[in-house]
Amino acid sequence: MSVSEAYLTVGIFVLVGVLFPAVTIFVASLLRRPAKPEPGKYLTYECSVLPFTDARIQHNVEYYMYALLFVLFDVETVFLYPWAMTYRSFGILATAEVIVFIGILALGLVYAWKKGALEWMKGWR
Amino acid sequence: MLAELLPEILLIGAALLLVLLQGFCGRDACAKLSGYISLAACGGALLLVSLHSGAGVERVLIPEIIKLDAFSLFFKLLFLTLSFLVILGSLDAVKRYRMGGEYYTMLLFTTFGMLIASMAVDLAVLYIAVELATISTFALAAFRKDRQGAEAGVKYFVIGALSSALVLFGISLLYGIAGSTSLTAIAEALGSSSGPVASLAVVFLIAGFGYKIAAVPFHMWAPDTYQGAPSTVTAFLAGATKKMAFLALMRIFIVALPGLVESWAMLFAVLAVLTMTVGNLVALVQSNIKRMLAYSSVAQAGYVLVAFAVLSSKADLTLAAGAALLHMFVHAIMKGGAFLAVAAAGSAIAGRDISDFAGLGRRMPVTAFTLSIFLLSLAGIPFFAGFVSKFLILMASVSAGGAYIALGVLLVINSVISLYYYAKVIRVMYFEGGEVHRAEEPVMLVAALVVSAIIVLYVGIFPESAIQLAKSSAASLFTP
Repeated sequence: MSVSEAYLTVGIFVLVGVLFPAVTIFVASLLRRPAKPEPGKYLTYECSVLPFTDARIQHNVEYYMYALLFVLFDVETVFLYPWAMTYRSFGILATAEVIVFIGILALGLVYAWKKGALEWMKGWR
Repeated sequence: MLAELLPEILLIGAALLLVLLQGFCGRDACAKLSGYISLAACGGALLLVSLHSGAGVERVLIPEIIKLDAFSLFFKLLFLTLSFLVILGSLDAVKRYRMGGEYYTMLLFTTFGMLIASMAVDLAVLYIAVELATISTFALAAFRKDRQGAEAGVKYFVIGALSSALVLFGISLLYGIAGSTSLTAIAEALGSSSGPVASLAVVFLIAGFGYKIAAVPFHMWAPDTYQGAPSTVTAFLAGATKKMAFLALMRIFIVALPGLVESWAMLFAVLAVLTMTVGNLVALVQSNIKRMLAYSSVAQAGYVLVAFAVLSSKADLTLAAGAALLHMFVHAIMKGGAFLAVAAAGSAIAGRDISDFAGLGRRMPVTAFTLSIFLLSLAGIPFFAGFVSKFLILMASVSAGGAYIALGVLLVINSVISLYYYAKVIRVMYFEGGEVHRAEEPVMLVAALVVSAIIVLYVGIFPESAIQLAKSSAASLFTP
């Protein structure tokens, strides 16, 4: 398969990607409800409760800490699972590499633990 | 294989030790201890590398992936020298601003990434090494926890992520053509054919790395980041991190894309003209010294790009590449030194405007004197290192003949313009500001400044060995 043929697929994909929203928006504009503006219609609709504060509030930074630590374990699983499936054929070298890998991640966890990232709402009590 | 990688193992070992250390001791004591450990690790690695360096070293550590040659040793020397100087200077700055020991951890991780990048001969490995180095610098750039520090960090992060995406896209196109990420395999697959896909890859790679080297028109993040980051970090960003992008450009374009030299050298020529001229003209009107040095850094990147453009000529290519290498090394030391001098002045002076430096010559004589040396060297005055490397670039462009001479002439004109804003700082330091009291100068920073100044003067007065080293290092890039 030549380069131009290989990129034909990409070209079709791009074309569909551009046309799809354009066509959808056009069809939707044919089917839409008649425009009768009214203040109540512009309110944020949330299970029939009227909004009472701004949606832009600051979240506790600890959520982000947890997200980061989650990624740590997540990535660990992503690499450990294929290794576990094939470790017989890969031998001792792969095992050593995985141990080094877990060791480095564990260091990160120890650091986060010692710095108090695992304690929820520490500053609030 | 492990013997050759000993400097890297030393650095990463020290960095991981520091991660562990941060959890187990108090903030200030820890920062101090971390500083000495990282200084020792960096010094040890520098010693190991300088023992290695010499003619004819070339070892393939992992075929098609990692290769240790004279080119990588030259850059290792550059990165480790600058890291050592920055860590030495930071011993004072970290204490003064009570930054944590994590500062050194990040510096070591970055240096480790840069050392790996200097040896990579595979696009995937090169990309990962560059990312490893840049991700740590995002955190370093945001180390000052105020408005400006946050702005510096966010801008650097967003632009860094964007440029990495561009580079990755370029790499993916090259992989699409060659079916391999190895640089030599790409060179074989491409030959001298230049299809539209290959040209697109060249454009993406130049744009991506163009952001990282802050070439005009990809430079707008640099002044804000350099101004907002702590001065010691700025010294590291301008001195070392930027050179890593140059390194990647040289490796990729000279080894993998020699067949397309006509098209990419043309792009580099355009970038060089824009970068030199805009950088210097904007630097003229800056009142903040860190912004002025940032724009001067942009302009100096333009001088290196002139040497890149000359690579398409029929002249001596090792001269052009060697001139680029030497200017990078010299620029790393003099610009790093200039920012370290700004950091040193910060112990007595609150502001960072050039007018705040009035009377610094009598207030902090060593700092002011070394800063003057760096500024004169940046301007390219004879008997300073900056003159030698700029002269070498000029020689390369003139010997190439034709339109390349115009690039050389532009370089000279730009150097003359730049003298104005460099000399302005020296005038303010020595001839303005009435009665001032002598202030105490931070010891470690002064040590780093004096070492940098000695390197600048040594290369300026005895240039032969430095030129020889740069040329032989560049030559290893052209031998497959």
